[in-house]
Amino acid sequence: METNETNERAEQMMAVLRQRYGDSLDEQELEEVSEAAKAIVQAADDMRAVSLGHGDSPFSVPPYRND
Amino acid sequence: MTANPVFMPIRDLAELVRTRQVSPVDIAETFLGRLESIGPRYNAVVTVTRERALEQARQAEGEIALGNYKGPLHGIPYGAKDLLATSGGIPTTWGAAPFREQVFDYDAAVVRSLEDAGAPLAAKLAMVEIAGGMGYRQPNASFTGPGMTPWGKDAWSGGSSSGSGASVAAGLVPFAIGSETWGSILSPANNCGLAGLRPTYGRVSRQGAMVLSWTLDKLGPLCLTADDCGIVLEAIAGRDADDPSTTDRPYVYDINAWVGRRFKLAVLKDVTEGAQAEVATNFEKALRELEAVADIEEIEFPEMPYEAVTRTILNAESASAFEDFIESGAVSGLTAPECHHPHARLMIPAQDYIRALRIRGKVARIADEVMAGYDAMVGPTRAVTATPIDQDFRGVVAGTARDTMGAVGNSAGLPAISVPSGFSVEGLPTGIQFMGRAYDENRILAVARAYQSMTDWHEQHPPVLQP
Repeated sequence: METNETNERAEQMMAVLRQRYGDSLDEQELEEVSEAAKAIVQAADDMRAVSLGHGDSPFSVPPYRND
Repeated sequence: MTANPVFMPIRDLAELVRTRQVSPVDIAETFLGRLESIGPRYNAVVTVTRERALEQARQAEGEIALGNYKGPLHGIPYGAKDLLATSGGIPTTWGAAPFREQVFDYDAAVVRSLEDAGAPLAAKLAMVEIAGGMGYRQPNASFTGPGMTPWGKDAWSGGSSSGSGASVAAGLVPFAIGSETWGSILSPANNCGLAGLRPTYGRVSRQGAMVLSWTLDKLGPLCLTADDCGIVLEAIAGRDADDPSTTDRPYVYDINAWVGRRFKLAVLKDVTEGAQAEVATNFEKALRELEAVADIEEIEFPEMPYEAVTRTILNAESASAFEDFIESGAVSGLTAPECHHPHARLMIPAQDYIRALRIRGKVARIADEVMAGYDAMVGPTRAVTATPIDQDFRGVVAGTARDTMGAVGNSAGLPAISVPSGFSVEGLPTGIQFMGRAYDENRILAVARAYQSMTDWHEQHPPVLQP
């Protein structure tokens, strides 16, 4: 769910994006980038709801199978 | 040549080749002619590799005449998604205008494996630009135009392996190689009414394939039948020192595995929620048919942000793989205007990427634990049939439909096969997918073969394209 905090972080990300790419993108393009930034921040927020323990290491290959 | 090879499964065609009832050169000529004459109708082909195909077909014919038959792909032509490197001046365009002149001086591992098996390369096949990796919201996202399914006028072939799907469905090649990062083999299999196999991550070397996401990319076949998928997978699977992700576990296709036994299948609760009515109807009918050979139980995955995890990894890795392309502004040369602005992906914090990978580790364990009691998990391949080529996906795809099986399966690196399960009122195919535990390709192939032995959807082909 989108919250004020989510929007705030998306705006912070967008501020950096404007600084880096503002000269090469027009306002409509920046609006598209802004929508993508919101989706990225929202996904990060959704993932933060998952509790991780110290031993939860990143996925590694080959794929896990408990035989 | 007496028998017509068009729409003939590999196993049947191979027998005619082995017994010298048909000539590999004649087979190649038949399919090359169709690639050249019919391929453009569906925006399915980038390059017809006529010279190379005929040279390889002549070689196959000579070898077979001398008694050196290599196996079921000997003399069977195929098409490769145009993200697989090919030598000899044949372009490898990645479906994208900025790369349309790109050439390599080597063949991708999969192309070499198929050459070793005696299969002539007949075409480089169209695809969504950069395998959809810069984002796209409608089918016109390739410099060769929107891929079209042979089953419906102006309906999308699916993507990103769009030409691999359309070409097999139109009888332009007996089989094709596609790639899947998230949905790119199963989606065209669904929209084109084919069998499409996404192997376990690490089964097939990606050496020489365009990278979209190092930890998600897989290569696999699109064929007329599940049996054909097994034949092709055996030829392309295996450890490759040039792709460290590849597994040491050997793969031998066993058509006799699990024959005659009763299967145990799992169905996700509410798996048809938000799906198009005909997709749900055909899926429920397929379940009833499967009850003849399987016990089916409804299950649930624990609540997790599966799609967010897979999306975050895909976004971060694709942005890194194409960082220079994005930063330089070359991305603006892509065909789809909505593909031009992936800049936000470059800003995904390492913290979030690693969190996604850590949750992914949990997802892999959860998926293995949930699926350990079953031969396969079954679900509709896609929530909708092929969408119109001129419409935004967001306007036609059911808003509440989630792709939990796709997100979990690709995140955990699990194999899945889609086979056709019927048609909509408009005559567009629907698909059913069988997903297995890691390395269980033979098991899901057995389930898919059992389903295909009870149905004839895979024996139907677009009427206007019958030879």
